Parts: sequence; structure tokens; C-alpha cells
Amino acid sequence: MKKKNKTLRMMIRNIPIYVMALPGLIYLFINNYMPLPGLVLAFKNYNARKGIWGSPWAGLSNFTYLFATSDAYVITRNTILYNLAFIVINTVLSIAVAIILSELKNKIKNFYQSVILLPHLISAVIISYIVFAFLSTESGFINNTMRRLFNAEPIAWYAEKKYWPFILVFVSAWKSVGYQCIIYLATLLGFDRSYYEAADLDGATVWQQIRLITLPLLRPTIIMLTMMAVGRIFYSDFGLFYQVPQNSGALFPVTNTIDTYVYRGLLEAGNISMSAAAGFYQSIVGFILVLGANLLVRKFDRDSALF
Amino acid sequence: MKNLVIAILCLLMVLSMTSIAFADMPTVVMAYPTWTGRPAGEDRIQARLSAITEEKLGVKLEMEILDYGSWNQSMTLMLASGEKIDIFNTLGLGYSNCVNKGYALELDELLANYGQGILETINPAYIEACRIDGQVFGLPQQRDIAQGKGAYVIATKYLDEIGYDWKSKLDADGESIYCELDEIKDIFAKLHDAEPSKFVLCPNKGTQLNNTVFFDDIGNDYFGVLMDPANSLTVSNLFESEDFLNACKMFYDWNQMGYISKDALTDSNTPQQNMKAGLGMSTLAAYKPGTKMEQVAQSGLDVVVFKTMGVFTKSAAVTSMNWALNSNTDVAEEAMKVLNLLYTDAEAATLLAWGEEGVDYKVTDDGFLTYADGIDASNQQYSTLNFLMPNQYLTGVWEGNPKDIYEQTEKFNDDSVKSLAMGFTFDNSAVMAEYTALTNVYNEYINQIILGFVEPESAIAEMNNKLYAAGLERYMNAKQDALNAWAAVKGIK
Amino acid sequence: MNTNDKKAFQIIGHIVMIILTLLAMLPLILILMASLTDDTALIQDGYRFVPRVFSTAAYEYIFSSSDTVLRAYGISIVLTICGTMISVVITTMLAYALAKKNLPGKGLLNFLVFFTMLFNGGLVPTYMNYTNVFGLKNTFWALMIPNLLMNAFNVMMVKSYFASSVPDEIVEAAFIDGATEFQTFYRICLPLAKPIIATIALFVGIAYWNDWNNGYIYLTKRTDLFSIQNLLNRMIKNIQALQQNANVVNTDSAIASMPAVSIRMAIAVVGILPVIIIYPFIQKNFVKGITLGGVKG
Repeated sequence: MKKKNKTLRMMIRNIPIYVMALPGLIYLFINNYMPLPGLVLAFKNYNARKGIWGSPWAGLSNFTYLFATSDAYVITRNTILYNLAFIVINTVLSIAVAIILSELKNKIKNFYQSVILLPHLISAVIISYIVFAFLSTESGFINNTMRRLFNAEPIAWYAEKKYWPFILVFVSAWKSVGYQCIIYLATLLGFDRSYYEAADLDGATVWQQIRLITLPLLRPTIIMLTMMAVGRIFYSDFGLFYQVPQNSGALFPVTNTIDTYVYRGLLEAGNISMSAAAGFYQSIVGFILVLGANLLVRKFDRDSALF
Repeated sequence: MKNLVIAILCLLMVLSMTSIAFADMPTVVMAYPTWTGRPAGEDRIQARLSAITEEKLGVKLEMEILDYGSWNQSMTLMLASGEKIDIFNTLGLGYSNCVNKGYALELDELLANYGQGILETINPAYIEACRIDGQVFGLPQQRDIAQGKGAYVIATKYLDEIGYDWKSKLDADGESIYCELDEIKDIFAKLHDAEPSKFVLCPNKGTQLNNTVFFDDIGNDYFGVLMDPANSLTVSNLFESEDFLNACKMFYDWNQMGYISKDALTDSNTPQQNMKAGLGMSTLAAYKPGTKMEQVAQSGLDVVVFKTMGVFTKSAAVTSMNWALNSNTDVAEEAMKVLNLLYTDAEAATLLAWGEEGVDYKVTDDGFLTYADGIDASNQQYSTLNFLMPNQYLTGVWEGNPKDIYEQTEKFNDDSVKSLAMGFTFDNSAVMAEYTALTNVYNEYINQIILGFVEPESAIAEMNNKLYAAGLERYMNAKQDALNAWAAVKGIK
Repeated sequence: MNTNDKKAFQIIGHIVMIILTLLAMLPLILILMASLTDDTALIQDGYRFVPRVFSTAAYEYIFSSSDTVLRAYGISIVLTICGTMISVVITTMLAYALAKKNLPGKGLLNFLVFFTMLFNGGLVPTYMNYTNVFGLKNTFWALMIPNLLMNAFNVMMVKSYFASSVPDEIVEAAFIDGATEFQTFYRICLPLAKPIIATIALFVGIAYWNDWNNGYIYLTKRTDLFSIQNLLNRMIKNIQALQQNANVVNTDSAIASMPAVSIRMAIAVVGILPVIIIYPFIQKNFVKGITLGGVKG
């Protein structure tokens, strides 16, 4: 009884806070929650005459196509492994770049920061042309240079799957490090400089400062961004896996992901129930993983947990 | 005085009634794609067309012209969300899919009452071919329904270079030559010797399979096809056929000999762009009356069309871009009247296909259509996919084509070999899981194999293994069962 | 002290950044050069850093209807500015609430926000919601509102920044001085959070500037409302359609001379250029954030 009163009093006292939260919450309600009942499409055999709600139930039959295939293992493995690689590599690189940028004294660092952001602004189609300019068998830079320097036989890059895990990881890092490092940079700029001044007085090396001050302070941000990435671990960047490899069949064993698999399969058929099912599957796995990760984080570092 | 009052009252009544009638005039919305989406002149053409339908039918007409790139998605969204669309085209969406998903309305009764003009215009066999479970849900347009397969389009300047006398071999149409594949092989060898730095053939990934093997991809997919479509309804595996293997071997040889670019699998330029740039000497395409014109316009090179396969009307050809009514329409009768008008009224059909005379196009002294003064391809305000329009035969012939192109087209259709399964559609929703898996396997292998980048025998064997693992057997059985049931209803064999 | 060590770090830092800058810049120069290459030469040789045959045909084509291009630029600019401003306001306010210590229901609110990152109703229901319920189709709002106005990712980032980098003591002190909640937020917390606000403003701004999906789906009739991305997208289609589907010989060869390949690159340049021009102004806020943080902290 007493506790309830206290909560109520707290709520009343925080009315202005709730009011401030309201516009954002209303937007989320309109944009994200109102269409949410549409998830039911994943469990329906959609028929336009009956509408979404009137269409007959399909049970889980819309999901079977995601598992009833010899490729199920390959596409799931590719999606997860690439995402893990991207999370680790892009995070490490972004933090490194952010730390370097924050420590550099010369004004030219602003120029660096602007330029490395630019790849993020280029669409996947254009990136696929650039990659092609480097890798084309007949006229690509790499083959041309190798031919000129070592008289080497041209490599058919788009037919050799062994190179592509590296190419894709590289392209992903190239595209996103400049963008992701901004978040870390902004966080770094918010740190209290007095820690560093004290460390300087104690004679700490730059590396010690990074290891003992910067990284621990960045930890909540790293955990948060990683957890958000874990939530999307079953999704893949369609442009990166479809357009950049030029949809080359020989590369499917290392480029086919859940998204490209679904796209190829449903492109002609335009089946809204089955694409809804794929989305639902990707979301629910991400959801479970995030809940699990969050539980773990709560155990070891309560303040960094998402909720 | 009293009479005057009565007269005024009557006048008022008439006025008010017409205004009510005007306000209540139903609107029909018609949706179709163009390559670019809403053209600049849409409102103008819409007003002119609507004026015609208002006068002749008492119906307002609105157009919803969408970009072909987003057409599938936009139409699915609009049809599913109940937006006002009354008439739409099933291009890309798939006719059988539109029927199965409940987008398309049954038309038999409407046709009988309001669509007599359509019934008189279109070949009854084609309308019959649109029947699914006893009902017509969509109507084909007047266009080239047949397709000539396997046409090697070779630039004349290279033929002259090797001293090939093409002029004396030309068919009556003055632009094409019928020949055996061996002759093509012979020509290619000479072309390669004469111009070793140029590619002999610029292939077209998307249509390569269709132009190298004769078969009917019943149900609009390659998983279970008719290899002898004119005589047999037995579904078999295309990728185990002798013809497929031979075609792949031929391309493998050509590829080994350097006839084809090593980038052919990933090239994003069209064959015609490559030919225009002087990289290649020929391409492989389908043909129909007017093919030479198209090829010349796209590559800027004079060409000869070498026809190596017959002209064929496949099972899905008739229904591939049907006009349908939305099952949720509230003005079905009016929509059918509008369609009827567009199939039969030359003025309306021309307006829809080419725009306004004097603004978008003009008629030359010889009776051809051409761009209006000051207008060209780069600044035109209205253009459509004319083959999509209900009846382009009513609309006049564009300059550069033969005067009798439409008669040629009809004869081309009539003379073609027709699939026994013409009009068969396959509802694959029960085997969608297999379909998705099969499509992925197909995409993984087909281009490498058909363009000769891999040794055919082993690669084809590997592809077939994966196809069977993905459920090809089950898929083909489902298709054969559906085909048998369909044939029984139609009384075929 | 460690001056040597510091110097070494500075040198290595510059070397690393120069390598990264080159990696980012070279492909962009390639795009620029390809956009200035004659189409036929581009097809013949592939992309080159030095054009063999120089041509500005792609840019001439893009700006041949300059009033349309300028209007589309205008719409993109208005959209990006308005969208970003609204987005920053509602994002920071919501984030501030979520970062508030001891707020009853905070856990639930956090979860509700985070949940939207994982689940969405899908394209069809979202479209139905905005067209049937809100009537957004063929209006300017269709460019601004669907999916772009606020996202949970940004909210979470700002929230965590408030929680970690805005010291409680300052907020407490403000209250003791008699400031209201809103005044504390506006006068104390916002200035401290400038770096992160600049960050999300940049992210949202880029998202608005680059978006063509909303226009593609929702603006079928009102093509006069097209943003620059929609317009450029449409130009590529136009030119490809004319070239690939030409079915008549064109006497003035207008079609044959259209730059179908180089225009893709020119369009990428035209799309990126304004961002390059504006970016330095946003960058300033990163610096301001430090000084304020340094003084108050």
C-alpha cells in the first residue's frame, strides 16, 4: 500500500517527463505498433477477396520453405557467420578509428573524418559497379595490374568463391567503419578529460590510457551497439550479398543468405504470406538472442543492460 | 407568366438532374506499368480519354501509371490494401497468381453483357486459353503472342568482312535468313578468325536458355517442361534432355574458343550496348516481325537476323499480360464497358497508346505515326508499352516499321507451332517450398552452364542432383497431375 | 613524461588515417572520372582513373531539365531539414525520459522502444496503415513520416549518452536552483549531449537525403513531389528504357547518344555532392560538445 502510493507520487511528479516522451511514443505507436497485427499474415493463406483477417489460417505452412531445403544450413550459416564477422571486425575498427581521431591534434582530422564517411553515402548498386571495376576478368584493375607486373593469368573473381568471404568483409568494413566510428567518437568526446590529465601526470602511456580509461568508459556503448546488432543477426544487407557479387551463381555457397534466398524464391510468386513468414522468423530469432544476451549482461553489468 | 415559371422550373430541374448525374458519374481507375512510371503528360491524356468515356459511356476514367521496377510491389500493395483500382494488367504479377490470390474478378457474365466488342475482336481460342477452372479472369491483347526462338543477330559489316553473301539468302521479309546451326558455327569461326580481338557473341543472360533449347516452360517455370509441346503433354526434366546438353556443349566450345567475353556472367551492359561499342559482333535473341528494326535502333548497326528455330506459341504466352478487373471493384460493369471501348474504339486506343495528335505524335504524309514537331525520344511527355495496350492494331503504325506490321504479326501468330497446353496455368502454392528451393538451385547453376563457363556434363549432373534433392520429383509430379486434370476438362488427348 | 610515446602515436595515427582516407577516396574519384568519360569508351575499357575520352554528356543530360532538378533538390533539402529537426526533437525528448533515473514504468517503456527494432508489421500492413488510416499517399508527408521520422536505434544511443555522460550532480544542482524538468533538459542536458545529437542529426539527415523508397511507394501520382533521389532514379530508368526498348529507328539518333552507363556514376556524384558540402558544418558541433563538456564537467 505504502509502496503503491510512493510510485503514484513519483508518477505524478514525473508528469512532465511523460509528456516529453509522448511525441516519440505516439510515433512509434503509429509507425511500428499499428501495423504490427499484420504479422498475422505469416500464419494465413492470404486471399484478397477475404482480406487479411478473413483469409484462412495456414498454421506454420508458410514457414516450411525456410527449412525444407538442402540450402537451409548454408543460408543460415552464411547469415550468422557474416554478421558475427561484421560485428567483431567493424566494431574493433570503428573503435580504433574513433580513438585515433579523438587523439589526433592536427585539424586535418576533420578532413579524415569526412572522407571516411563518404562510402556510406553510396548506394549498393554503385558499389557493385566499383567492385566490378576492380574485379572484372577482362578489364579489371587487379587483373590488369597483375598481368602487367607479373604476366599473371587473369583470375575469374566472380567464379572463385574462396575469395568472397574476404571481399565481402572488406566491402562491409569499407562501407560502414566511417559511419559507425562517429557514434564512438561522439561518446569519446563526452568523457571527462580530467581522467586523462591525471593519467598523464602519473606517466601513463597512450596505450595504457586507452586500455585503462577509454575502453572501460566505452564499454556500455559497445555492449549496447553489439546487442542491437545481435538482434538483427538473421538479417543481411541485401545489396551487399546480392548486388555486389553480381548475383553470380558460382558464388552462392558463400553469398546466399536468408534474405537473398527468400528474394530469389519469391520474386516471381509475390507471395506476401511467405515473405511475412520469413520476416517473422528473422525477428523472432533476433528477439530470443537479444533477450538471452540481455540476461547475461544483466548478470555481469546491470547498468549496461538494455532493459 | 405561369408558363414562364413552369419553363424555368423545368429548366432548373433538368439542370439539377444533369448536375446530379454528373456528380454521380462513376469513376473507373485503370492501372498499368510503363518503364518510367507516371509520364509528364498523364493528366492531359487522362482528361482527353475521360472526355471520351464520359461522352460514350457516362464513366470517368482515371489512370494509375506505375514504374515497371516497382510495379509488382506497388500493385500488390494497392490490391491488398483495397485502394481504388478497377482495371489492372497482370504483367509481372502472374495471371494465375492473380486468380489464386483472389485479385482478379470472374469476367464471363460481364463479357457477355458489356464486352461483346472484345469477344468480336479477340481470337476466341485465346479467350478460351484464359479460362481457369471454367471462368475467364483476364483478357489478352492484340499483339505478337508467338515467339521465334534462337535468332542470331549478326552485324552486316562483319559479315561483309568475311565475304559472306547474306543479301542473296534473305527471306521474303528482306531482313532475315532461315538457316541451320551448323551454318552459324561456320560463320562464327570465320568471324573469330577475321576479328580475333572482338567477341563473336554477346549473349543475353536472361533469354539465353529460351533461345537455345526448344521447349515449353509450362506453368512459367523451368521445373518440369514439355519437350515436345506440339504433340505430347508429358512433363519432363529440361536439364536431363539431350537438347539442353547439346546446347550447353556448343556454348562451352564457343566459350573455350574465346567467342564470348569472360565477363559475360556479370556484365551489366546490354548486348546491344556492347555491339555498339565495337566489343562484339552478334547477339542471340528472339524474333518477331519488326525484330530487325529493334536491333538496329538499339545497337546502331545494320544487322541480319539468322533464324535457327521455329516460331512457337507457348502455353503461357497468351495469358502473360492479361487485362483483369479487381475483385474488389465497385464498378465492375463500368470497368468492363471501358475495357470494351479500349479494345474497339480507334480514337480511344490511339490516345491511350500514343497520346494526343499534334502534341505527342503526328501523322506523316504516308500515313505513319511519328513524333510531333519539337518532340523526340528524350523529351516526350507520354509513352507506353504499346504491346501491353488492349488493341494496338487500331492505333496506326509508327514510322520505320512496315505498313502491314500488324497483319504480319497476326500471320506470325497463326503460323506458329502451338503448344498443346496453351492456356494451362499451374497453381504451385501447394509446392511453394520446393519451388523456392528449386529457383535457388536454378539460379546457382544456369548461367554458368548455359553460357559455357563450366564443363557441361559434370556441371549438369551436379545441378540435377541438387534439383532432385530440392524436390524436383515432387514438383514435376504436382505439375503433371495438374496438367492431366486440365487436359481432361479441355478434352485434349 | 611520455612525449616520445605521444609523438609516435600521432605519427602512426596519421599514417593509419591517410591509408583509410585513400581507401575511401579512390573509389569515389573513380566514380567521378567514370561520370566524365564517354559512354562508348566506358563500355570498351571499363572504368579508368584517367578518362580516355572525356565527356560531360551525363551531366548535360541530368541538367537538361534543370527546373525539375532544382525543384527536386529543393524538396530534398526541405525534407531533410524539417525531418531531421523534428526527428532530433522527439528522439532526444524520448531518450531523456528513458534515461531518467527512478522513472516508474521505465523498464516497460525501454522494452516498448527496443521491441520496434526487432519486429515490424511488414510492408503491406505499414502501407495500408499509412494510406487507408492516415491518407498519406501522394502527399509530401509520405516522404517524411513512414519509417524515417524516428527510430529506436537513435533513441537508445541518445539515452545511453544521457545516462553515461550527463553527470547526475549537475541535474540535481539544477533542480535545487529551481529549474523545471524541461528547463533542465533544455538548458543543461541538451548542450552536454551535443556530440551525440550531432551524430543522430547526421544519421537522420543522411537517411532522409538518401531515401527513395518512400517516394517510390507512396508518390505514384504526385511525381512533382519527387525528391532528388527519386528523380535521379527515374532518369536512369528513362534512359535505359529508351535504349533497351527502342523499337523504331530514330533519325536524329537522340537515343543512340544518351549516356546510359556514365549517367549512373554522374547520378551518384550529383546525389553525394550536397552532403559533402554540408558535412563540415555538422562537424563543428562535435568540437563544441567537448568544450562545453569540459567546462561543466
